[in-house]
Amino acid sequence: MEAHALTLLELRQKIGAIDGRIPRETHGFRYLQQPIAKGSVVEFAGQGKTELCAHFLSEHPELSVAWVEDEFSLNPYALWQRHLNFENLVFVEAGRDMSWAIHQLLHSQAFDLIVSSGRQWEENELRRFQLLSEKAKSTFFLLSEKPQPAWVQSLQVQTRRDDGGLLQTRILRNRITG
Amino acid sequence: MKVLCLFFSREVPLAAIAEAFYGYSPQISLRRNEALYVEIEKCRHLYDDDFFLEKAREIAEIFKCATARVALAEDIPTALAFARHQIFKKEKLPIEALADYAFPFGIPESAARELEHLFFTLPRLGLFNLRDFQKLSSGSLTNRFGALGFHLHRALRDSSGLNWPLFRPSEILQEEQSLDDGWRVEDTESIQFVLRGILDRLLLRLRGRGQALRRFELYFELENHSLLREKSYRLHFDLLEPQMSLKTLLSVVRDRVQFELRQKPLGAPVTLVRLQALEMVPWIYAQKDLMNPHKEEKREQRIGVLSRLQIRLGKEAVFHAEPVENYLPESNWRRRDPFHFREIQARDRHPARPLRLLTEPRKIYFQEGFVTIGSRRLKVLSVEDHEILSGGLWNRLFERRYSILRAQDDGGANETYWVFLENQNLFLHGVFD
Repeated sequence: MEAHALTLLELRQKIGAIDGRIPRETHGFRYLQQPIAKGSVVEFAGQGKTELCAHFLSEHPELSVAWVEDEFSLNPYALWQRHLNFENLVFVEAGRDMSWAIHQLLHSQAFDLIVSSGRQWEENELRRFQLLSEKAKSTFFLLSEKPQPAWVQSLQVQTRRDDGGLLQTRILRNRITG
Repeated sequence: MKVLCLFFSREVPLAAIAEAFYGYSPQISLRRNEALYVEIEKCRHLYDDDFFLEKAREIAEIFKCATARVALAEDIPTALAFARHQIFKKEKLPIEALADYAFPFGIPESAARELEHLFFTLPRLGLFNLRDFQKLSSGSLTNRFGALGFHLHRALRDSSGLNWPLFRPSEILQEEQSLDDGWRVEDTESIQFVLRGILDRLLLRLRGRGQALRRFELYFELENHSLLREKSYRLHFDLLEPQMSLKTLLSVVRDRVQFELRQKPLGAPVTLVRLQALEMVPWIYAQKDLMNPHKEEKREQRIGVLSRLQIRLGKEAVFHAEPVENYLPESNWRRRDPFHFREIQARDRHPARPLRLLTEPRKIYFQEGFVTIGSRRLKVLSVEDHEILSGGLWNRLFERRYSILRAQDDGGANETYWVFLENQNLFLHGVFD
């Protein structure tokens, strides 16, 4: 009986079910001093979320990125000023087909990173994206106005601007180990 | 010389199958409704005999001619006789194989009757195979079997110097499939099943021609029905990137058909599906990158998914962005084709701009330390000069004084806006998000 219980414990540890931390391949993120797991769902929420995402992309010019917006309000000139690699960056203005577009992009496994901005997602929809991200090893960045109360995100970062306009970050949830 | 022969016992699209071999050898000839010859001597350094036999069977299967008989020989008549009779020793071939030696590109009507009579007579004389016929002395042939007998004997002795009739690929490249009553095709699933075969054949022909698909038309003919207004259905596909991958094309076509049928369903079962290539471009075969074998695959996946997105969302909705030099912030980038990246020529002459830009600058109001944006009222923390932009044509001159406005809402959250003053009016133009 004791041996059986031990095996179960070992198994649980292996799948990260004990402490909720899943060891995976990661991308470093100097700005946040925090690695980001490949194939995970990461949420940046609040004022300065796009700036934080731009920081990550400028640190990783080698990643092929699809940036999906429902209505396009990004300023690509400003992204270029922040030294993003435009050769590896494709923009998609998906309108009401945003869920379908993200699904297609993740399913294709053709991009290392998908950025979704401009829409709040239901938890089951996020779960679907998480499964596809894991399978494709494509990291899924979610930029939202407020942190979404879902358990799907491996990393959840709250961003804000201080009185001087500087970007401040606070990690709300972290289930990533390097 | 080495000749590959494919022999078909029923009528098949011979010219289409021949096109599939065009990539291996340009020397191809057809025997009316029956056989196809490919001269493969020149490419035997690249491929061996087994490869060709396997390839021939594979191509025949794709064209739904799995019963095709295949053979290799040193000359056309022997290859034809081997393929037809599936006997691979020349001496053992039946006496009827003489016709293949005498007329390898088809029997003329004038000789058909005489040949029939000859093949009736020869076995009665104890001549059952080619070895028996070869033993006859050539001097006695004309007296015994006429001019045809002599011609047959000579052809059997030496058939290497034949002229190959020229084969030209058809001008119109299309593949179709008629659907009989037993097969009801009216939904995307079944259409996709039919399309797979058609696309496979079309791509095989394109590969033979050394071309890639750029533009094509999909045509459905519907079952005749008195209430049916339109008896056919056409979809045009304009691919930004020429395609040769079955997987990519199939997914592009599937998504589009699914989308279109949702908008406008087929009124009746499909009786014919046709795919016609409208524009092709030369296809360059490139050696795969051995150091990075997944690069090509990933590129194809990328093209595939972007094509699908463009078909559903519109061409403008999927793009690369290209910064350009322009005084107006709303015009200093443009949308470019996502398949071809162009080096950025612009030079950055501006301080860091906001990451979000409003499509149209929005008028806002500043009063007693507060700014009103729509229905929101925020407390202004600071206003900082950012840049002055002026320019335009003589009749559209503008001068905008941009500032960075920091404000705080009721909940204590800080916002950083990009605003400008023009003609004493304050406009919100961007957000440092």
